[in-house]
Amino acid sequence: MDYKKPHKRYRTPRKPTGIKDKTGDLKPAQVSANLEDNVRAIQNTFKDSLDFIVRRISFGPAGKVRMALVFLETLTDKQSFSDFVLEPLNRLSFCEAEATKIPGRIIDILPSALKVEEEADWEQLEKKIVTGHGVLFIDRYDRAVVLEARKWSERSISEPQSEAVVVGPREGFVESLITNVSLMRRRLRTPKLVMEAIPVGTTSNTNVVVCYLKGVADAQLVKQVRERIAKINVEAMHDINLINELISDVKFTPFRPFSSTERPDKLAAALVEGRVGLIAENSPMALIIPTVFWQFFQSSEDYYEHYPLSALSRTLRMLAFFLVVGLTALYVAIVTFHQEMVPTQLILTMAAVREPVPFPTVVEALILEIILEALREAGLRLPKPAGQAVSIVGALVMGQAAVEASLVSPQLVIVVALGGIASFIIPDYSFVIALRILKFLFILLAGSFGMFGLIVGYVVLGVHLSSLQSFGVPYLSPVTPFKWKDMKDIFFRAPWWAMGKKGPQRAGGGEGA
Amino acid sequence: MRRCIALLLAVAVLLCSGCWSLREMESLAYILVLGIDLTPEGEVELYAQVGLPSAEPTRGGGGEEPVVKTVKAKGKNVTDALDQMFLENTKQPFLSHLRLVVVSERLAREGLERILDFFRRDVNVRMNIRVAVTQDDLEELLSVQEPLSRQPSLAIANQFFINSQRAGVVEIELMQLLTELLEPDREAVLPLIETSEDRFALGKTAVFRGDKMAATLDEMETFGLLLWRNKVKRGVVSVTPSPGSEAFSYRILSSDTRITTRWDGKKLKVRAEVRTVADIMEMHGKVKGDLGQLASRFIVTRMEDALGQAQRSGSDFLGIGVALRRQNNRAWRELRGRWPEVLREAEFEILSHVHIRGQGQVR
Repeated sequence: MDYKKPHKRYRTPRKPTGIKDKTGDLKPAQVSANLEDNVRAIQNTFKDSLDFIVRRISFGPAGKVRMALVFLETLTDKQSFSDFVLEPLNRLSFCEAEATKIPGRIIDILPSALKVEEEADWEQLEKKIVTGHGVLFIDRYDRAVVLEARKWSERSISEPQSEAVVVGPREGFVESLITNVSLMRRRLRTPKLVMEAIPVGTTSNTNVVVCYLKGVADAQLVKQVRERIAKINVEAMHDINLINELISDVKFTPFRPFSSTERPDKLAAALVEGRVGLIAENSPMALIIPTVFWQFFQSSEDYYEHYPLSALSRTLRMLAFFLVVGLTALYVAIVTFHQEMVPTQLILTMAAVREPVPFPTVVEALILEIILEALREAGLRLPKPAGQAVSIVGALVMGQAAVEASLVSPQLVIVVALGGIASFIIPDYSFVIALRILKFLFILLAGSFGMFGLIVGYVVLGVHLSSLQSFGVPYLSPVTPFKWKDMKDIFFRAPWWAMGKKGPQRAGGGEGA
Repeated sequence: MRRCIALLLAVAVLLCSGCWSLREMESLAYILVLGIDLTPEGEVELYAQVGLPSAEPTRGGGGEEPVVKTVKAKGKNVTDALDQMFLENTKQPFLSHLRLVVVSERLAREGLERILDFFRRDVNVRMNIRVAVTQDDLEELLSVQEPLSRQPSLAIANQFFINSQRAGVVEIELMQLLTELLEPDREAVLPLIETSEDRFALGKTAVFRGDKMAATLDEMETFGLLLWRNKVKRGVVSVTPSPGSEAFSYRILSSDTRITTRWDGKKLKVRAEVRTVADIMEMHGKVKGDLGQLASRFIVTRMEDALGQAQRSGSDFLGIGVALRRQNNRAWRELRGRWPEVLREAEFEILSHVHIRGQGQVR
């Protein structure tokens, strides 16, 4: 598979600067055997945070065995520390023994409900504390015990906002990585499912999970994904879409080479096809790699409904593509360059309505489209109930008022409204954004060159799309390069009995290793 | 860097193109019907019926405001006259919506070739516009406001359509007219439009010899013409078997005419066979004789009338020449020089067979 190298800024990872340089404090490189030294050092780092807790424990005869449990209470489950660490330790009895023996025993003694390991490197230790672990320092022992006890509050699983379906599961990803991973595990209960975690971001240390089915996904593809993620060099990763640009083949295009989804069932289906999924901490979206153009027209519902319905929906979506991109432009082109194509009665009526309008048709169209986009954006920011109302009422009222003030002609209002409605038909929100950008370009083309400009625009669009690729897979496959076998799911979903065992279309590079 | 330059060039192209041939639709004068006349000085005079934009499309029935306006212009030829029209108009004359060209009788008798060249060459004029001749005043014709519909041009178009479907009128499009004028084996015909008060009347036909008008046919002869040309599709025919008796009417379900020619070296023998399938529509009392035969007689008489007109005017607009050319090319080439003479001397046999298939709902 060939892919263009990412920008050289991202090619070689910089040495991470680390907190060490900024604070200028001296930090130990290793855990020391002296409890007080350790505690002092750790407090140095965390003393300003209100959720930092140091819990000293001493037990055994005459309090001879001393330990300190250090954790951030916002990330950990205090109850489990109490249950699984403090209680068992309290019940033990020690005779005075050497420090080295006890730690060994401690690890054996602690119930296996917590993931337990030993750590000596200071930096790693600090990293563990901030990722939801508790650290147990033991006096006279030069290793610390790291206990995992993650707990934090998170959003509960709810219906995905942007991909609602009428029929089908309603679970959507949430921000917690573990929960998301569990959602996937529930759906693909096979040992072949691999969930590899790769930390990304020098400050944020966000875990990005690469998930795939071993043996089904192309080994090369997985390797590439892994490598590219490892090469990412950012300070913080706030949302998974940040790495979209960073790991894709750099190209000046409004179309994304990945699709993102909030639905675990969609991701599960993609994994079965041999694709690779990316889930990240703090992101309710998962990315699917690789993606082809036709996937943006697919929705989970197509597979849960009877197939004639999905045929209808798909056709509608393909039509919607042209409506969004080209309807207003077509109107502008015909009405300003090709009046001979309009029925006579209609053109006389239109001419009458347009007479008082001061703007040329192109300008009118652009004004209306900009108003539509503005209303749409405004509707997004407002709280839910008000948002919808404002968008719709705003559009209607403004449209009507504009027509009556003779600022725009009513036909154009209808055309623009149709385009707006069509943009909601396509299931993938980010894809539609690309189309909306194109829409403006097409209007300009149509207004300058008429139908000729429009056709040139479509040709250029077609050429551009065929030159794109997503991780080595041509963007427009399986239409070009033509693969008859994979066409079963493009324009309409073939009935299940015709699909074969693996289900619909395989990813371009999806042959099992 | 290259991308930036490419982008800049793209923007520049968009801005510098000057919007190419953009024109706003309200800046055009949509010419719907064009009337052409010849002035006594020999100039071409155009009467353009321009559709006025009106914002109420849904009302049938006459509104108070006019929906059309007639613009006149004179010139040495059609192009020149159109050019003059630009000078006297606030909007740009636009021919793409032209539906009907009406030629005055004076111009028709002078010769159509004078004006047809323009219509052949102009890129905006469509080849399927209708052409007609009128014996009335052009200006009056173009200002008739049909009470039943808004735009007269659309009304006329509809009127043509419904009447051609019932074998009432000859419908000729520009393409067809040109073919008939250019082909040596046939002559052209054009429908005649008349105005009576506020309506248009169709039904008569103008017959041409070459490109000059030679004669007119009335409604009955027009029916005969349509029969000869095999253009009868559907329609209603009312037959009066003999003067004084009751008429009966039948509806044509299908009608097919075949012309066969035979040339024996001296005389041309032409046989026309018409097969009709009909349905009785209305009848009173007893009719003496076989209905089918009475209908056939009616058809034959009509065709004979049309034939008579053709022989008198020396113009073969019935399609006999076409038939001969197809069936016996050598003979046609021999005879084409003196075709009107041949027509007059030829032997004609007209047969009609009417099959009455049904009688409507009555058993």
